[in-house]
Formats: sequence, structure tokens, C-alpha cells
Amino acid sequence: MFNKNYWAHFGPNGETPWQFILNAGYEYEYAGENLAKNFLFSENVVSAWMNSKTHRENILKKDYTDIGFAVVNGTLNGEPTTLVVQMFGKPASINLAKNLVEKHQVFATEKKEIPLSKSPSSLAPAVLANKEQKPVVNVNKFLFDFNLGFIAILMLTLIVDFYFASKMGILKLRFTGKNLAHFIFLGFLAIGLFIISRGVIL
Amino acid sequence: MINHIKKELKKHTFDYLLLLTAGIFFILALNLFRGERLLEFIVLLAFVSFYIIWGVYHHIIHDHLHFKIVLEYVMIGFILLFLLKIIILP
Repeated sequence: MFNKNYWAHFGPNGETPWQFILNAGYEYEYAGENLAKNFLFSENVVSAWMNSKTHRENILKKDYTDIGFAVVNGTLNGEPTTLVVQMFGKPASINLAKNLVEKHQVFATEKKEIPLSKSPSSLAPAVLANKEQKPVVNVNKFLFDFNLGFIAILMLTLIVDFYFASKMGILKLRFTGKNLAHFIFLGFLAIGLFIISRGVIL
Repeated sequence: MINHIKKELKKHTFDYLLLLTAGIFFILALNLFRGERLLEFIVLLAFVSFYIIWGVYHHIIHDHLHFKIVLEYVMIGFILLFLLKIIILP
């Protein structure tokens, strides 16, 4: 999608998700695809899919036996974009599934025979799959909380300032902006922050 | 405090209605362009610009505009524009 600069189930030249699945050597009996773009948090992607009837059906469909995810950052239409692709499938037959397993076993044997220094890229997926990832700081979560915290502190400051100024009767005497206007502005930005954190699904 | 707010709203009803309308349009536009980061940023920039202009206009027509007041609106507007920009266009 990043290479061809599109975000849709079907490519600009009529490519279908089913072609991608078949090209990967997976012959399916059933297949499905869910897409998401520019969500700030993973849990929001799942809840957006679960709140959409068609996406929910895909997730809960009993016919699927396999699932695959791709979460990739890239540039789409010149904008930094995060795409999430969720693929579902069921292999066409048991024989085919056996073939796929045998095929994978051959690859695994081959990888063992190749020294690490000669072909690190071919071994990379296997190494990544076994690697335990340490929890890292979620930058998006930190920025979101920081923004929300900043807005909350500013709103609180305006309330306290307004309270004391009105109590002391100096509201009309001082040269300042309108606390009520600032408060309304900050309120809309706080709502906007929640909207921005939610991307779009397809 | 509530009385002050009521008086303020009653005295400047049109100004606050204008601000509220702009805010509602801001929320609707953000919702409409959800997932389109550049458009989200343009909507945010438009709302912040409107807010600064609104602040200046509000104080001009009530004849108590001061450089300090302009600075206050500009500072609040741009700090929040910068903070939200980090999230929209990282």
C-alpha cells in the first residue's frame, strides 16, 4: 500500500487482497481483511473494529482458522501514516495445509545449515519470533497524557484565577484575556484530542 | 463566580455564540477528516487562528485591548497548536 500510495481493500490497478494471499502461497477456502489507519493506540483499533458490524463479523467468524497482522509506519500521500492490516483465512484443504507445513519445515532445516553471518536476513524472522521483547515506553501514550494533563492544569488554573479575581472584585480592573473564552477553547481542544487519537477503519 | 459567568454570557452573547459555533465546527471537521493527518492539522490551525482573531476582536469592540492581552491569546493558541501538532504530525 505504501509502495503504490493507496489505502483501500483494492489497489489502484485492481489488485485484490486475495491475490496477495495467493501470492504468498496460501490457498484459501475462506479469507478476509480488516484495515485501520492512523490510530494512536492499539486498543482503539480493536474497539473500532468490534464496533463495526462487518469488521466484527470478520473477527468472530468461525470459518477462519488462521490470522496474520501487519502494523507498519510509512508515508502515504506525503503524510506519516500508520497502517494496520489484519488478514483472516482458512486453508483450502488439509492436504494443502500439510504441504505448507512441509514447506516451512524445509525452510527451517535450510536456515539451520546456513551460518548466521552468511545470511542474517533469511534468519531474521525466526529470531524475531523467538525474541522476548522488553516493555518499551509508549511515546504516543506519553504525549497524549502530557497534552491532556497540560490542558487540565491550564483549565484548573483559569478556574482558580477566575474564582479569586471575582471574590476580590478585580475582574473588571485587570488587563487580561477572558478566562471563560480560554476555558471554552481548551474544552474544545480536549475533545479534539480524543478525536485525533482515533483513526479510521476500512 | 457563577453570577459573573452568567453576566459575561449575557453581556457578550453574540461573541460567545460565535466561539461556540466555531468550536462545534472544529469538532465536526476533525471527525470528518479523521485519519487524514494533514487535514486534521489544517483544521486545528484554522481553529487556533480563529480563536486568536476572536480574542483580539472581542477586546477591540469592548475597547480594552492591550498588547498583554494579545500576547495571552497568541501564547495559549500557539502552545496548544504546538502540543497537538506533535500528536497529529509526529
